[in-house]
Amino acid sequence: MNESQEAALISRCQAGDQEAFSTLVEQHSRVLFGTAYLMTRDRGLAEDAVQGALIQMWKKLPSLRLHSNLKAWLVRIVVNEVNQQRRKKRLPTVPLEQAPEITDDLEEAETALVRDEDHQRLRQALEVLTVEQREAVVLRYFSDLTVPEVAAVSGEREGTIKSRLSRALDKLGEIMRKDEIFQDRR
Amino acid sequence: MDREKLEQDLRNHFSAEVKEAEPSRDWWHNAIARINESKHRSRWFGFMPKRRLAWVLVPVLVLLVGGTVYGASSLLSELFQKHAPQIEEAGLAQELDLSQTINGITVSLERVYADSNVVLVGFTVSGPDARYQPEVGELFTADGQNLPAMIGVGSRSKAIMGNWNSSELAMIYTFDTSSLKDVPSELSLILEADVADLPIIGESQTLAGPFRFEFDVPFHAGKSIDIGQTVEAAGVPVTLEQVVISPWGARAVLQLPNGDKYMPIVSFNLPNGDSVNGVFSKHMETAIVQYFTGDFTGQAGVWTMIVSELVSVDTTQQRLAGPWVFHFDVP
Repeated sequence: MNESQEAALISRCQAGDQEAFSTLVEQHSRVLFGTAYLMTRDRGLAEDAVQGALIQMWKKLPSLRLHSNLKAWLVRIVVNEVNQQRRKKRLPTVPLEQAPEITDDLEEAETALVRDEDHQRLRQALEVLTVEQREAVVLRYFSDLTVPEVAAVSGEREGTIKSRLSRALDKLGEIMRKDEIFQDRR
Repeated sequence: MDREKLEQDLRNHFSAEVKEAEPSRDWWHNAIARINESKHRSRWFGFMPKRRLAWVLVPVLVLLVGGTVYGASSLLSELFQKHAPQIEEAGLAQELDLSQTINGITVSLERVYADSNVVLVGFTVSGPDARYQPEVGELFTADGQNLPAMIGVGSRSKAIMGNWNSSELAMIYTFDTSSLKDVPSELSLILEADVADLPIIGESQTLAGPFRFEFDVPFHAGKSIDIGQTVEAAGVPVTLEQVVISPWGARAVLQLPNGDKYMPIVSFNLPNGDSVNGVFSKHMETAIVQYFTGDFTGQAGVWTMIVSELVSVDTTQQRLAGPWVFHFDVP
């Protein structure tokens, strides 16, 4: 869908066209659900957040300027909804000091495919990130937002996001390196 | 670990994680259906007519104070200027001073307009609490004909996205007049509507109503052009049946096989060289009606309507590329 078609769809949504809204949402369904899922790490909570976000999108669409960055705007609503649900429902977030140690037990990984093993290691490494770091990493590397867009979505300054991403990647890199060394020694 | 490799690993990892958990198409269908339900409950921007039966079930909290006079609020003026500037700037809207208060909530009917495409009804809602939303009203002619609701647009004072702590709400309802057979010089209308609360998520509760207003409004007749041209592209015949042009805008009535499964992307090229995009469409029983906003009543000459694409409204996102091009003369 090109920009003019998207603009036409947005205009229709703003005028109350429900079919246009369905089409618009479905264009971005993967990034909307995926962002919520990767932030919550729980499919049910992600579905709840996306459902709530869809309602908010519909209500707020008339205030959207036609040339706004639609994807970033939609993602921001999902992120707000996840954070709101997190406050309401106390989603299972893990403070850094209580994050689980990266286990040395790779028995399970031994039987898995290498690809799955890598995912498992990365999944474990991601557990070490703070909520804010994880949000920034998800928005940057899954939602595929630029740093300024991540900053706008998170309500932070660009410098803060750059620093947050850098620290998150340093931390992940360090853990993955340790894991590689451990694997090599085995 | 190399930073670029780590970034790529993260992308791959996230993609794989989401792929495993992605909900089915049915889930999206249901989620969007629930939006429609919520939208119909919330009555905020698009809507469907509410059932009268529901009103019977609503406990009537009655403290009617009729005749309170309000001037058209600046909020409502701004809303007209934003959503119907062609009407506002031409001074075609009729100002009214009708208000009712029920259960401490005041609805003031302040500005109305009618033509051969739409009736616009502008009103404000105010009261002791901030989180009000009008439910979709029903609009009847004096002889009992129900004019279907099309769109609702609203604005709050201190209207900032996400800030509902405002004291006044202004709304414009748009109703469809295409079913009117005889073109009167003035329409006598009856509006009935409830006011509900506005939950962030979940169902709203009706707080007060029905509010009922009877009023007369000048009817601005437009031009109705019967066309009946059929053009085939992508193996699909599309027929442009009729175009109706009024000061509010224009509607084009299209027929196509399985029309209820597609949303057309439509534009007009006007005799003065301007191009305008359709702003919304709706499916009738056997037709798609595409609406354009703007005063095109002075555009006599050859018009061109272009259906550039038909987009399926289901999750397949199937697209039929046209164009289907129609030329017709407007006197």
